[in-house]
Amino acid sequence: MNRDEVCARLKEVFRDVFDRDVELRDATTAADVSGWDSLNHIILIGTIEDEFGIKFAMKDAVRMTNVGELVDKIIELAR
Amino acid sequence: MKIHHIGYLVKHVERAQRALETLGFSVVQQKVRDELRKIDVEFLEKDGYCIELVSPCETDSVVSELRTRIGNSPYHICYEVEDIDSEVMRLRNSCWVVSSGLMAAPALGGRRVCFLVHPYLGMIELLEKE
Repeated sequence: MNRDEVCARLKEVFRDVFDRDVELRDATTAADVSGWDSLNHIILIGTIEDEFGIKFAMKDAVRMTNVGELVDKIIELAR
Repeated sequence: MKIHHIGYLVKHVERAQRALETLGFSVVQQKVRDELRKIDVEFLEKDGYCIELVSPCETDSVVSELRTRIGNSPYHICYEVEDIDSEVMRLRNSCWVVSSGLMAAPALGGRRVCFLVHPYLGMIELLEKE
């Protein structure tokens, strides 16, 4: 899976979790997205795991600070 | 896996207790402070159904943000399990995400609990059997 495919699917995940289109850039953080609080972060992690068939280590799930890191980790785990 | 209680998140334990008493519930465990999670917890029962009232006692409590977000509301069902470690691992493999890891719950006699969230269902609590 290449980066563009991951980003496209991730955008759909964000749309599902936040009920709207969310502009995603590598530097996007929770602070940039209205409603991206701690509970929605957990829901996001679970939805991404389901969508991509992967499982994050919990320390990674907490540590990822922006969308770019999230995409990198998805690519790594989906290999 | 057996349902142990339904957790309600409330702003005021005493006032919520009075509301439940109008429905026939009785207190089975008076309010206990969980200093680690910065919450007050009380249990009431009716006809074999148990309700846990949870209220943040500090602004940085583990449930402060959630209480502000959902108001006074039921927010989890607690399941009592034989082996909490293996249940957490089993559910972790089925899209359940740990929101608050294994820790002792003072209001439940120090038994360990773990909170998990499923993206398509919401929050549950696991409680290890006595």
